[in-house]
Amino acid sequence: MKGKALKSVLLSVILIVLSCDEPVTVITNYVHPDGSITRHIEMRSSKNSFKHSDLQVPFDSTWTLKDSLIVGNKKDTTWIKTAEKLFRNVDEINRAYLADSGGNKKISRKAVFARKFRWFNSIYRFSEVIDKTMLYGYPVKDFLNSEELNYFYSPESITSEKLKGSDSLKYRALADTLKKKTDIWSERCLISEWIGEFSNLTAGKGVPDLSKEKLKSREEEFARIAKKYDKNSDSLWNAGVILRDMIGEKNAREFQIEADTAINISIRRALVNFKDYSVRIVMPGKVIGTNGFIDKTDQLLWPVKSDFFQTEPYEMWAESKTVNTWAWVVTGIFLVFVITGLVIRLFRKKEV
Amino acid sequence: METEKGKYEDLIRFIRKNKPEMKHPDIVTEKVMDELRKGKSGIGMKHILIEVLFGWIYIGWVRKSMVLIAVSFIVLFGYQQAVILKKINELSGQRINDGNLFMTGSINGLPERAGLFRLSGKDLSGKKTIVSKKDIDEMINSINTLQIKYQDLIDQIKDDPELKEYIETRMKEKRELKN
Repeated sequence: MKGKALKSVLLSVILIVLSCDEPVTVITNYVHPDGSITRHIEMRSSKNSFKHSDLQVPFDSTWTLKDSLIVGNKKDTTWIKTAEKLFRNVDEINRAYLADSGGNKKISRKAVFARKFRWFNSIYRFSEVIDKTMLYGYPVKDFLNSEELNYFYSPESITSEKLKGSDSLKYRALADTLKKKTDIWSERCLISEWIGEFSNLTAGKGVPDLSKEKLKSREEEFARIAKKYDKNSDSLWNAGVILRDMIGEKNAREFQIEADTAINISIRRALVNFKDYSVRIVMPGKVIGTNGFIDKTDQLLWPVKSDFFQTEPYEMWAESKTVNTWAWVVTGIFLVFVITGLVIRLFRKKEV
Repeated sequence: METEKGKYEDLIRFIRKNKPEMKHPDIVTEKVMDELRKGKSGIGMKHILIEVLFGWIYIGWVRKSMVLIAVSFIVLFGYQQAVILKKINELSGQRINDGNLFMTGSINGLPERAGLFRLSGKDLSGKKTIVSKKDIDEMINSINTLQIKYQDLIDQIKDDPELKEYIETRMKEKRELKN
C-alpha cells in the first residue's frame, strides 16, 4: 500500500524532530502516601529557548520555575529549566493534561492513583496512561517474543550500550530481527486501520464485499498486494492500481474517495505528532511491582515514544507498600492474648 | 544416774511452771490477722483479673472464634508476605545498574540527590531518612555558592601566571610534605 510513502513521511518526521532541537525532558512524579503528587519537570536544551510548542509535558506559571546552565568540558552550554508543583491528587494532574496546549496536546494522557488498606501493609498504585492512537491496530506483543519486546521497550541509551558491549553481535542480530518484525507490524496495523475506516465509510451502501468481516478475512491478501507494489506504492495508489487489485475495478471506481479518506486517516493515526520524553516515578515505601526499569535508588524509569501507544494504551505503573506498624502491634498483642488464654485453660484442665 | 534423772525432771517441771509471757498479745494477734487478710485479698484480685480477661476460655464459641481470628491473622500474614516476595523477585529482571544510562538528567548529581531527599525522604541507597526541606535547601545554596567561588578562583588562577606558579609551587611543597 502506501509503504514507501509511510517510510518517507516517517523519515521526514524524524528529521523535523531532530532539527527542532526540542528539550530533552524528564518528568519525575514523587507520589506521597496521602495521594498527593509532587511533579518535577527537568528540561535540557542546547539553546536557551524553551518554546511552548516544544514542551512535552504541560506546566504553567503556577509551578515553581528555575533556570540554570551547565558549561561542559568542551565549553558547550546546556540550558536547564526545572518546574515543580505539588498536586493534591491525580484529578488535578488530569485537568492539567486536558488543558495542555504544548507539543503533545493531541495525545490523551491521564494519571491514576489507588491506595488499598491490607491490614499489615498499605498498598499504593500509581500509573500514567497514554491512550492508543490507532483504533484497529494489533498489539506489538502479537508480533514479538519476550526478548524482542524487552528490547523494543528499552530506552535508546540502553540499546546503544548493548550494541557496543561484549554481546554486540547478538544484539545486532536482535535489532535487525526487531526492525523487520516491527516493519511488518506497522504495515499490518496500517492495513487493519484502513480496513476499519474504509468499511465504516462504505457501511450501509449495500456492498457485501466491502463489509468489515469480508475485508478482514482478506487481510493477508492485502498485505501481499501491498508488498507486491512496495517500490512504487505511492504513485500506484494514486493511479488506483493497488485499490483495483484489492477490491476490484467496479468497487475501486465507485469508492475511490472513501478509500483515500480511509488511508489518510490511518496514516495520520499511525504517524501521530509526538515529542518523546522520559518518566520517573518515586513511590512511597518499598516498590513491589512495576513494568518500568528500576535503578539503584529504587526510582522507576520509563521512556515514552509514540510506538509504545500506537495500538494499545501505554501504562507506566508502579506498586509499593508501606508497613502499618500499629496493625503489627495490635496483631502481636492479640496473638499473645489468645495463646495465654489457651495455656491457662490447659493448666486448669490438668489441675481438675 | 538417779540423781541426774531427778535433776532433769526438776528442770522440766520448772520450765513448765514458768511459761513465756507475751507483753501485748492483742497486737500480735491483730498483726497476724492483718497479714493473713492481705495475702488472701492479693490472691483474690489476681484471680478476678484472670477470670475477667480470660473468662472467654470457658465459653466454647468465643474460644473457637478467638482461635479462628488468630489463625486468620497468621494465614493473612503468610499469604501477604508470600505474594509480596514473589512480586519483588519478579522485579529482578527489571533492575538496571545505572539510571544515568537511561536518563539525561543525572540522578547522581547533588541537586538531584538533594531533591530526592527533600521530596521523598529517601537517600541514594533507597533508605528512608528525615531531612528537613530547609536544611536541604540551605545545603544546596551553600554548595552552589561554593562551586561558583571555586570556579571564580580557578578562572583567576588561569588568568594570572604568577598566581598560577605560586599555587603550583605551594601544591608541590604540600605533596612533598605529605610524602
